[in-house]
Amino acid sequence: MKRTIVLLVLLAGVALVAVDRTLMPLTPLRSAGSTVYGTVQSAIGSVTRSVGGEARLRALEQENARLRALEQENLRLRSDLRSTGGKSQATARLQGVAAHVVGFGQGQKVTIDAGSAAGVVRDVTVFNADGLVGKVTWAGPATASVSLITDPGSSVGARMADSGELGVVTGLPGEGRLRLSLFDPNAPLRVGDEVVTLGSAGGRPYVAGLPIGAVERIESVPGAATRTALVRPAARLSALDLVAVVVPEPGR
Amino acid sequence: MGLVLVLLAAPLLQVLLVNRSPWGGPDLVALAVVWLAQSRGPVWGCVAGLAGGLIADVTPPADGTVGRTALVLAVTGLLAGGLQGRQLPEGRWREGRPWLVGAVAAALAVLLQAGAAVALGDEPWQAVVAALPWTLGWTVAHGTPVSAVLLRRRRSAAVAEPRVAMRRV
Repeated sequence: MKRTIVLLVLLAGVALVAVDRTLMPLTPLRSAGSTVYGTVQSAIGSVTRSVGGEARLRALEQENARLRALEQENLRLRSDLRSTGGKSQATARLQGVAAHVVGFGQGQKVTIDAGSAAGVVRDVTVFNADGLVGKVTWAGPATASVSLITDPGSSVGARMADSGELGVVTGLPGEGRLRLSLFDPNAPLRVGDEVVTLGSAGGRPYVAGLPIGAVERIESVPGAATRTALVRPAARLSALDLVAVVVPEPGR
Repeated sequence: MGLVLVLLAAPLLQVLLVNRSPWGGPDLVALAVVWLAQSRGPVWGCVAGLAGGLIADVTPPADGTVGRTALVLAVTGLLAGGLQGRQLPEGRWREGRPWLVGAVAAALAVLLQAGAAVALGDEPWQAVVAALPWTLGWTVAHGTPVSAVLLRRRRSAAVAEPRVAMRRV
């Protein structure tokens, strides 16, 4: 009897993994998890926020103002792009959804309290008042999972704000820093240079022109095919709260 | 009953509190499974591992393979329960040292989870290796003393009511 139960349980475990990997993703189970445990996370998040009181409200208002400023700048950059004959992404219509970070996963993942009900879909940009935060990897009904740019699996197309050199920014494990690789090994690079997102077609997963961070240390490897540097993220990724998600406009 | 509640709340506490810490933290779900297995035996441990692991797999922001943690923790729960007390062929009962079993099972749970995450390609190995020593240290450090206390309490309860225990057998 006992042996049967144990065998059944182990078989169930193997079956879950096999089905999720090969036959079909077990989305209903995930959605249930997002509905139950995600909703509890959001509820606890909003309770702890409301306890914070006046000082928090002021901080959020400031943050809001900075987000607006960022949005303005983004609009300006976009119109610049358009006037210089920019690509189709510049004309893609995008809108933002505000969300709070409520849960922290192992590794560089966080939960935000906006899901597909608010229009969030996978592979869209998440940013805050300081800069790029990451992208949505999975959107459940009430919550979404965001993979931060410091995740070792993340890579973001990047452009130097001043020189316009192109490159890639990847996450480094366990350090909270990013590695910038410029495609041109002889590109000029100085400590303190700003790195912004290059942007992808349609703004997914990353929209163009968001600050990623500033160069902190230049790594000189003689004979390397790319020029690499350590970048400190513009957004404080260890203390995230209010973020905005760029969502495609409904009906597109 | 209390331990079952701990198991249900563990994934939530993990994402709300433990993972916020910049110095890493224990794996609460694995600990809850090990404690249940030690105090109630391998079958309970196995079932608790599947249930707790499945919850951990679908609690956002987890986005790995569904069933990965469930399978690993079911195996861990089975082993932890088996190490804690097993029947020898001649009918005697052999019991492991609670703190030792707790430490070994906690370490096993963390290592197996890391291995499964890399093997299934859910996380890059650099990230897993970077986080592993911290999680391992915290989990074993929390698991060992609690296992010892839990089992001592259960044993003294069994001594205090020998008649009930006899009747149940």
